Amino acid sequence: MDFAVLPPLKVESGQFATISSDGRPLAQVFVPERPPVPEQFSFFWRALATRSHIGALLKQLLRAESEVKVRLIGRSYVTTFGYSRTGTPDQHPEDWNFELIYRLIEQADLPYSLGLTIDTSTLRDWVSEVYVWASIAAESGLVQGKPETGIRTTLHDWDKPTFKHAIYPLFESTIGLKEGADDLWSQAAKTAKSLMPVEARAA
Amino acid sequence: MAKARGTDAIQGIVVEAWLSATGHAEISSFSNPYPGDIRHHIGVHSNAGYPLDFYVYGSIASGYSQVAYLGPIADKWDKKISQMTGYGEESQPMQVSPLGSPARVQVSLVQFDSTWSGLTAAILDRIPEISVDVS
Repeated sequence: MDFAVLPPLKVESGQFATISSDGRPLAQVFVPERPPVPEQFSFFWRALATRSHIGALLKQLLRAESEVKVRLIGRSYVTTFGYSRTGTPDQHPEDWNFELIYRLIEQADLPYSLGLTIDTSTLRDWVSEVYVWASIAAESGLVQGKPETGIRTTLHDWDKPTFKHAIYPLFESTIGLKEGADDLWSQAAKTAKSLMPVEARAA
Repeated sequence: MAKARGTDAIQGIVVEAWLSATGHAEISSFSNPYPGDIRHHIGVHSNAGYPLDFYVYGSIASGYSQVAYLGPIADKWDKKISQMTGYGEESQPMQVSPLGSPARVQVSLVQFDSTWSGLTAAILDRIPEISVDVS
């Protein structure tokens, strides 16, 4: 599948690039001018996610030793909380007590917006930190508004097999492409790399 | 009501508004002698993982002129919250005239620069007016 990357839009703090196909914008990449960590960028697309998408993501992302921050914005409430856990990486996922997070995701009234920061930087073979945001709605029914799903990560983490294994299913299942999702995923990293200031690259 | 809030649950935007008399402390009444540092605050939370420019608009409800903004226009103000990620806030100083009670201020509009569609009004559930007793 062929994608076009439109000339980047420069803003005060960085650059946005839109990736499109047949003139239809599919996704965007934002690369900050002065990233707080080397090689950071954001990749996002117009899409709704469901509770089951997020549940599957959490099962892949949550490790025994991690810090989690959640901000859930519903129609009549805003909930934020942080969660820190220490443990051993070889613990079975079923033993990880993240019930509070799962319960929040499952029981919060729909629709809502989720902002999820997961920091597993103490695990060397895992991602440093990933931020995922998503508009969550029911699997059926019309939703008014402009939903968006996205991730903020680094090129360094993006290249790890564990990262793609964890995040790609969310992208593939929400982007709504019959074909070409893998190509678009690759294009996102290429675009981020092309916009990355030299001083923002990891040594 | 000390703090008013509106949300856009799909786009992940929350707008909060309040009056303060000392720093960011919320206040729901003013008594004579009135403090000299009254402000109308508008704060915006966003779940988007990239920066957005937000434009916030505050106003005094028609017929409640016992409060006035210290600025070019006495009954309204607008400011830009630049390149915001997570949370941003702007405020406008006010003064109180002891003409009656209560005073009512509100958020009249919130817009943001969407990289998908340009300047977009945030579709928020109605944000209530803030009513402040003045005595």
